[in-house]
Amino acid sequence: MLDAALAAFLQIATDPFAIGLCLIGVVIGTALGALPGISSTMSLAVLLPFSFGMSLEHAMVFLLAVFTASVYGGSVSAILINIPGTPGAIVTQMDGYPMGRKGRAGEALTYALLASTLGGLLGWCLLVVFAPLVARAALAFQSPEYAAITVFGLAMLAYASPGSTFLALIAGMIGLLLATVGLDTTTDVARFTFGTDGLQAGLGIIPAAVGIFGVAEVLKGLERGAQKLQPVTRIGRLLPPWREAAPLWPLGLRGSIIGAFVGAIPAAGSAIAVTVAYALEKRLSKTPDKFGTGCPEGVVAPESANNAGVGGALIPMITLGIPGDSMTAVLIGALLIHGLRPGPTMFAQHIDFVGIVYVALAFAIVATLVVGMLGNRLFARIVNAPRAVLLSGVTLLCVVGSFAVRNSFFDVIVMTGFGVLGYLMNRIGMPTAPVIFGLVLGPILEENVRRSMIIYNDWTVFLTRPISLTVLIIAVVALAYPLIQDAVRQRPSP
Amino acid sequence: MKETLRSRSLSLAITGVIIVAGVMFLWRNLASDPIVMQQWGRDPGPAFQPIVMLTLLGLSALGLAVTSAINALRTRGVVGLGNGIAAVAMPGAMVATLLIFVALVPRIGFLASALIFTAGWSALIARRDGEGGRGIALAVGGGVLVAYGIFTVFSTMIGVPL
Repeated sequence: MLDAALAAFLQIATDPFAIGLCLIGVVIGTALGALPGISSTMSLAVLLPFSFGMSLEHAMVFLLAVFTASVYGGSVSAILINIPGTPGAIVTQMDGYPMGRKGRAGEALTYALLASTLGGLLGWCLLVVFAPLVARAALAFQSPEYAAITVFGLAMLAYASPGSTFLALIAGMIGLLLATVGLDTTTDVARFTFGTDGLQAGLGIIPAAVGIFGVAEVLKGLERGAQKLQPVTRIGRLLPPWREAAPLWPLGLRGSIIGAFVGAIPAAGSAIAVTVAYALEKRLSKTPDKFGTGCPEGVVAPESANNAGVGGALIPMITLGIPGDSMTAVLIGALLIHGLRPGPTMFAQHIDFVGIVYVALAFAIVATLVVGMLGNRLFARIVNAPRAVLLSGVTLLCVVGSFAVRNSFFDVIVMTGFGVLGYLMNRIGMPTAPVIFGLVLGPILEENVRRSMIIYNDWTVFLTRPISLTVLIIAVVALAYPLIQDAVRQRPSP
Repeated sequence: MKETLRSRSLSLAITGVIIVAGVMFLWRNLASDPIVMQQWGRDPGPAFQPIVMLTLLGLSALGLAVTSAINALRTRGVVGLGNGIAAVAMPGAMVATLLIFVALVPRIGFLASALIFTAGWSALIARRDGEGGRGIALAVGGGVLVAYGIFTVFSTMIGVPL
């Protein structure tokens, strides 16, 4: 592993094009993350097509740079306009925006950047240490265990999704059902194609992700009465006083540890991590009343947890082929386009690629720090970009991005369809990410359930193998608990 | 508050009914295909996952429709469309123009279609946002530049046959 990482380091460090891609990815990722209404998943989805013409290594350098930077960029809009750019920045705004209103926006941005870097590095350490261990353990898994882990991933997603678990579960089932459209890979039999050639290859993950995360957000932004912004106009000085900043590092460390471990749970996502980190620091604080009024602790804790989740989310992606969050779901789509299916065999068969991921992520974290320190004032201006150009430009990028996957306008129609689906789901409060998770996990689930049956010819095989049984029990508990809570909560008052 | 709760319950009930209708349509499509439905030995076959998902989704959606309808009936309050139709007019127009865009590309080419699309939408959004003549002109100019930039990057640099 060390040899592969060293080789990857030399490969990237001596390749000016790779370094350039990393820097461009960081600049664009931060800028897009900072724009109101453009989430980090949307940034990754619409920028993905730029990587199609690149080698796999260059594509990973670029995409991981966008991934890391856009997560940080989400805090810029949270601090300056009170709109979180990412779900993970939802807590940052609670103290970041009040800090900005007090004339300390520059300091809040620096706190967010430093905490993001600390979190990012700790998440990276977790990835480097634990990914090989998980992959080694996963090599012992057979198809029943894979099927169980896929169910676990979906259950965790439903559990962790904002709002109703039941609605998230329905959204996941829609994704799993849509994943069956097209030719069955085992028997070559067409399903739900309605005689059209375009559906034979199935519904592409990328057009679907661009539609659900990109077009749906554009449609929401076009609604009448879209939120009027009240941006912070005075940035103030960037460097916070040393006396105030120095005591905050244990807080950042705690947030990073929470973020990294929660991020590593398949589908758990950053929203849970930042909420836990914020709540913990508020409880530990001697002055909990300061939280929510614009205190640096309220920025450092969630931001460190948010970015630590990047490394954590890559662990299930690389080792099990299961997305850690919606962004890694998009990354899996990118890898599939480059002919690589992540999973436990990655460490045995594609160790060079794993090395590239390690090094590219480390470069991205450092580059985000450097670019952020140099360009925070500039990124602060981006939140005022003209909405008209932004929305029409992003829509065109969505069109081109979907077309570029297979040079097919049928994919643009698919993208539009998913955009409408995502928009309608948003309107009724149904989470959209489970649809994409379902599309990613559907083929894995089907393949492993059917393979289990072909090999063992026994439906109870999923319950008689200890790992599979344990994982399924956790999945059932994770689903049952919030469903019961939902049912109790939804009882209407007379 | 009550009105919102009742409206939301009704929306969810309608969603449940739509999903159930979709499930029934897909079920019929699947069941009418003898190749998909045949026996495949020890392999549960290509119909297995669709059948499981259609069953689970159908039952869940039915549950959603029934419980939401009951919730809507139990709660009081007026349910109206409000400014619902007006609010979704622009998103609806965007979807329509996206489909027109796809139809237009084979006739006048990608670049021309993209320029018309971005210029038109930039002007429309800027006008709706209350911009004056100068603001609209700037938005149109910005939109055209962005469209040309995207075309150049993808067509020339990445080699996408637009």
